Amino acid sequence: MKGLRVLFAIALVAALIVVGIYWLRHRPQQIPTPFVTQGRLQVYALDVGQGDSALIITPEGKSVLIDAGPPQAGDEVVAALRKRDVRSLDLAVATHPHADHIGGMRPVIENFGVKNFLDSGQVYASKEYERMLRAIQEKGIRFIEAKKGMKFELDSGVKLEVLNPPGDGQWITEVRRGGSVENANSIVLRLSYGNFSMLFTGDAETETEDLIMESGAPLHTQILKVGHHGSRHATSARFLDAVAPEAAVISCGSDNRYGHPARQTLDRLRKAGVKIYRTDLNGEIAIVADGNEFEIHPARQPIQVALAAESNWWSLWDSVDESVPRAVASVAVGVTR
Amino acid sequence: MSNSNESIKAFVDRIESGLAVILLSDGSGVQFDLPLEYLPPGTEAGDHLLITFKLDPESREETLRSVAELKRRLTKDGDPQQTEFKL
Repeated sequence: MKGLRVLFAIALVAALIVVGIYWLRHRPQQIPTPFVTQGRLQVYALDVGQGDSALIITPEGKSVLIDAGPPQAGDEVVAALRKRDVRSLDLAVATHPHADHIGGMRPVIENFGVKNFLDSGQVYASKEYERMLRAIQEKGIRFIEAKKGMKFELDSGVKLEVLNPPGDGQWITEVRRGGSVENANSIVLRLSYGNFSMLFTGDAETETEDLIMESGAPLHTQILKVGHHGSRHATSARFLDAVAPEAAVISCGSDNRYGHPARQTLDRLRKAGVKIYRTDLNGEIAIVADGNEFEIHPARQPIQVALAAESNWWSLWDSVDESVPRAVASVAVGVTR
Repeated sequence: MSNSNESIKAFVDRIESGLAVILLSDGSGVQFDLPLEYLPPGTEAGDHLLITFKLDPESREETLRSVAELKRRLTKDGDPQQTEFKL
């Protein structure tokens, strides 16, 4: 009889655990709170899957698009711009010529009047890049090749400053084994508005971060758009020291094959006390700033993100090492869905 | 794992909405989709494929030349010394 009771108790506990896990996984996600955009600087990290795209809208309505995601995200980027009433772009930026950053640019060029185009200036044998350049030429868009020190004044004190590439025919040519010269020469931009600032790093990795630090460029920013989708080869501890961000935005696709973001990068960010937002978990991430204070409004707030902020042990669940093959990565990530 | 000279063995696992879902036969878990029209006529689910890659240096050079020429034309009217832009 006693044995039966023990068995019943064990079964009850097991059932509670199962129900608990089910609840954690299927609990309704937090509804995003509405936020005021009028008269504020807005930055949207768009949810483009495995790629990168960010939209900036100034208080006076000027707009800048930094990258346009992969080719399959082109229509989504166009829709995201329309949703925000963007009719034309004052500036479009291709941080570097890889398809996960420029793939969606042609539909953008075809659907919106783009006034200026800022390119990294690299000559790269990509057919996708060639087609993008041809579209820019056909539309007669002003084409600017980025170099360190360039400044773009948007309005009301909203500025974009170019921190990389070096320019004037100088390029970063020494990269880690397995690294990419195209990534290293990504355009790095610092957006500033009053006391607010945000750093957009494209796919730059440590060698670029080191060079920017050596140049003495202003690096301290409130928000860091993490380099190279959270690769472990970017966002070094010393770079985080210099930037000292309060929050970080990582643009990556769920279940991507590249292990982005890397556990090491997430650990470095956590150790530095940086609040992490991820497009794969949070969807589109909106940042609004009035020049003094800023707010971050993710489109969704999954349970694992909320818990990760509270407890370190949970961090074991929400990321995997880049070296872990996709099959394992899917299982590890899938647990928290 | 394949040598560069050898064909890669793969198979059409299934066809979804006109896309052939192709998996490498080596169990590496690598898979990709290709529209059926890129495959030999009559390819169906369960068919096995030999995939061969060949480098195309001429195409690469041609694209590099084209990109360089496009950039030359796109930048010819710009002022390379300009660093301040008011948008």
